[in-house]
Amino acid sequence: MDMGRRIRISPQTLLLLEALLAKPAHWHHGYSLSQQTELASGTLYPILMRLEKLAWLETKWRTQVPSAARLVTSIA
Amino acid sequence: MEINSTIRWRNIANTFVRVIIFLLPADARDWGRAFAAELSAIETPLASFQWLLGGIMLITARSMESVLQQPGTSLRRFRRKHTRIRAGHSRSPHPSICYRFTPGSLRPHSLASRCAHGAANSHLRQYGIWMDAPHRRGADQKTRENS
Repeated sequence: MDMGRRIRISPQTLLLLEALLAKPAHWHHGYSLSQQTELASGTLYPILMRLEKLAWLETKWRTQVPSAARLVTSIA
Repeated sequence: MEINSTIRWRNIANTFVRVIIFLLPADARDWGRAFAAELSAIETPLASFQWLLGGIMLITARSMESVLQQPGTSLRRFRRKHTRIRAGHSRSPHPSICYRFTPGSLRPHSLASRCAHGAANSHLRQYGIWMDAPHRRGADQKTRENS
């Protein structure tokens, strides 16, 4: 059994999860998340990718202007 | 004038972002596109420059991760994949172009071996202990007697 198994979460991941959980029903853009958490894009995106792979996040493309669809994320 | 420079900067940034998407491994391209789409929301050139720097970090991290996470990937296999043996010169490896222009000290296997220096030393220590072990001393004595 994996009862004793622990998931190690970096402080940056915690920061991101905190920002996502502050507005759980809200869909967030990458740049706004970066501003909220003050994480650089190079740190933020690998975390987002990892969390999506773990199914902790939901993502979808949202179009405000037809030519510029942006990926938005929300906590699953 | 300022509008022109902003447009020019945006064009440069878009070109960079396209390169970033191209260099990302296939499974991360969607995230690369998401990363690129955010550029339209960034207002100042400095902020978009910082965003692009993050993209370089992203490529580096993802590429290394995808290389090391391939099933059965070992550094030896990685090296073998990137070096070709010339016909008739089986003992002299003929490195591929990207390897030919990379100094030996910066090649992935050499960096990794440097990181693993501590581990290698501990192996050597273990080997030393094994060589000094009583059964080994007995084996050495037998060899000497036979000769």
